[in-house]
Amino acid sequence: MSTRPKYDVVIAGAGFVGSILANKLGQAGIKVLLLDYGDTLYFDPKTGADQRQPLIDRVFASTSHIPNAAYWNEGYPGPQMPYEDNLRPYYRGPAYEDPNSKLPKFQSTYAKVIGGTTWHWLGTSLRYVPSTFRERTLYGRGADWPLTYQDLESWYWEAEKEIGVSGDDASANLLTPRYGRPYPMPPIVQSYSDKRMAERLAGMTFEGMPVRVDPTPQARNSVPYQDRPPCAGSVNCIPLCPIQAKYDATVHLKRALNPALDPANREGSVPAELIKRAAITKLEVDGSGKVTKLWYRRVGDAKDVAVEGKEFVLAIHAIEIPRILLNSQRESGGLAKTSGLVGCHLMDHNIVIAYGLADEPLYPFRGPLSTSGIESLRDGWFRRDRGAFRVEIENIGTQWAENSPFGQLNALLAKGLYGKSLERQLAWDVGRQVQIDGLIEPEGQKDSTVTLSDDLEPGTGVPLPKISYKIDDYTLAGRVAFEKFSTQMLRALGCDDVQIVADLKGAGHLMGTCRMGTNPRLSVTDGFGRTHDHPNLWLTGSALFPTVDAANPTLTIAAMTLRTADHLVRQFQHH
Amino acid sequence: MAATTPFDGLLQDDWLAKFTRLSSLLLEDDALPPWLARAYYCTLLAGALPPSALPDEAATKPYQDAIRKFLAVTGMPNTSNLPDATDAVTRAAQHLAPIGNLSPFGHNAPFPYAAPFSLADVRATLANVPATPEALSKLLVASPVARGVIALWHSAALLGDFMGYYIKTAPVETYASARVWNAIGGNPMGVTGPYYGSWAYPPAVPVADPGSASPVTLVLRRKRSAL
Ligand SMILES: Cc1cc2nc3c(=O)[nH]c(=O)nc-3n(C[C@H](O)[C@H](O)[C@H](O)COP(=O)(O)OP(=O)(O)OC[C@H]3O[C@@H](n4cnc5c(N)ncnc54)[C@H](O)[C@@H]3O)c2cc1C
Ligand code: SF4
Repeated sequence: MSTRPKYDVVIAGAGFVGSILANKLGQAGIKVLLLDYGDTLYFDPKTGADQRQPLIDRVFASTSHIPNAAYWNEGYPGPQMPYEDNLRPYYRGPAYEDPNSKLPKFQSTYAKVIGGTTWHWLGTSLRYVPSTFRERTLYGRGADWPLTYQDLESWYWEAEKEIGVSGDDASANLLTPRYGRPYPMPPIVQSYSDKRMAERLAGMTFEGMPVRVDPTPQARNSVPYQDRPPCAGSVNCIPLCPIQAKYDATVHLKRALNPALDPANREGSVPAELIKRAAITKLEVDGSGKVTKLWYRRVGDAKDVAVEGKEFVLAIHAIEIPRILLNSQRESGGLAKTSGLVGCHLMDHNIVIAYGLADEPLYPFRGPLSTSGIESLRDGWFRRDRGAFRVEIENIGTQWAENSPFGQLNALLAKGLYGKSLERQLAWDVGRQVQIDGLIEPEGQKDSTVTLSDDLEPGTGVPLPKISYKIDDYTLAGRVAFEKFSTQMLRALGCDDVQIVADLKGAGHLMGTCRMGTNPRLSVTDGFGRTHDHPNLWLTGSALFPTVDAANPTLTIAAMTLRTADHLVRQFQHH
Repeated sequence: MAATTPFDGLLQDDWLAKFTRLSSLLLEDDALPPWLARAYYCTLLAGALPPSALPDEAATKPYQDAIRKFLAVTGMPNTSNLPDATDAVTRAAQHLAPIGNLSPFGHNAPFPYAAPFSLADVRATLANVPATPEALSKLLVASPVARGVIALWHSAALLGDFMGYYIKTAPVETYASARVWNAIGGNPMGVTGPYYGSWAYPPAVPVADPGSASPVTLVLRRKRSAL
């Protein structure tokens, strides 16, 4: 006797993808269950009123302005994650365990809280260039996507409206055709330093390409939108926007939990249920390959519980998705295993930081952390030979490179400066700082992997992910180009002494670990994220990306999520 | 002598007065808000406690109670960052974990978790506040306590020697008052900013090379010569 599952769709992870998906499915009358590590909502689900004040308090008390400063992974049973220099609470592998290891570390992490990593994302919301979807065919790199820019274009536009992107139609259109569809909000005003840079770099080219300082499309309000205020310039987008001018996933989570809060609420919509403090441990599959149960461990009493559903979605981001797949039916090699590619091709946009002192004040530490970038170098035939890069122009001087302004304050104090002369020198030293970050496009490597370690995670009993991360030659060649470019650019701004940080940094972009494709032998899922092996198991987000452009991934994740939601709704309407 | 009062008797108004006097000299400002002085002074003392002084909740409580009492006049006795045993212990553990002693930039410098001075150093520094500018400058170079005093007013935190990373934050209520932001014409990170688009303009007071005449002086000079 089989009973009908209570839920149509079980979604593991109430982060960015999970929240959007739950909202869209609920609006179509589909019964959704969400599960997440986290335990606090920071909003009132009845009224939608925001309740982030305790988080602001934590940012002010924190000894480190790092992404996780406010969140501490609360609810999650494992250790807190307050310092990015110690990644052991997240990852295992020689790079993390052997102090003498020279192996590269995967440095990006994710937030284990309800609402996920968009709590502390920056909000940069670029589309991928059309050639990224056909990179194998055009440039002989990576693998082609099972969909094209054209397939995604209308979803990109929907995504821009869903999360609220402020952007400049004209400059964006040069690289990523918009077919006359405008951004929902005008671009965020460029900072004083952006404008000075644009003036001083006018006419500059790099390898024959124009260098343009364009306003970055960003999920940050330039006018009131979705009942959220315009950005006020609080200079804190990472770790926390105090006024929610920057989009975070609670926007959609509120609507999922209480459809009446959705401005486009439809008749027949149903609320999603949410189980908090639920650590997903594994999936169970029947003889036909269908997933029947999702298992989680209750954080409070360490009890293992199973839930049933018709469709199962893993929306737990690109490290945890392969981790849970590999931990399910572990004896026989995990789920979705036909291609053998689960956990392979782990990528990030490795970041190269270049900085210096301009010959005029540029006044950092005002406005969003970044308002402009250089996108015009992101595509061309050079991508046959080296990774592309985009340039993020910082509005916070050398905070990342040198802990500005406190690094400078410390140095001046050690020299014995005090009083007004200290303040004047500090203003002059900090006021001229320029920092640009190059996000380098990688090419996924099969042996850059997430597997299971022998260490069990405290509280959940699931093996911690073991990371073996490769920095590929394509990235290294892209890095050489960025270093050449950044020297040229900073010199043009009057920096006598251009500094380039030797270590590559993480961008916070976890990508590639369950690539999608048309051939089940060469990919884990189809173009909608449905696994080739299990007809009712769906994977999500940047784990699916076969190639990753030089641009930040999340707008593309949103577009794909909306497309998959639409696909799932149609499937339910069919049956 | 054995069972001393928390903070070795330094958490007293007469020592606060000495702290304020040194602060005024180091900041060249005679009108320092007393509530800030009180909060920063607590932080200086709390930072000078070695983590071994706070092995558990029971040992921590007298220190917390003393600070609460001392802060009561400021309206922030229940601030969220009083000395905290778990904080000291977890931070030490994290930074000393096998691979955790790397700075964010891969230099092998240990991440500091305690201020490089003791309560005795605080006492010695506050007891002998120098009188001349030269002596003040020398004191700064020599004394981590003096650097701590000025760092507190500027950043609402004690800074570690390595790249100025925070090692102890002052009560959160003081966060927005950190003088560094005003000095550089910036907005305190995380304090709701002035208004949309403010970042498109230079700040009200432009900065200039301290080596040359400031633009403000130039403007005044020009005006004067026009008269
Ligand atoms: C510092 C930083 C800045 C960033 N800035 C940008 C940017 O400017 N632009 C951009 O495009 N992208 C940016 N990103 C990336 C962006 O945040 C992610 O791409 C996005 O959040 C991914 O969405 P997701 O839903 O896949 O994962 P998440 O948003 O991380 O959601 C995953 C959810 O699953 C839960 N979860 C995970 N594992 C389990 C488990 N085993 N059991 C139970 N629950 C679990 C988590 O608690 C979380 O709620 C940034 C990332 C970082 C770290
Ligand atoms: S600058 Fe401030 S107000 Fe604007 S998005 Fe960032 S944190 Fe929010």
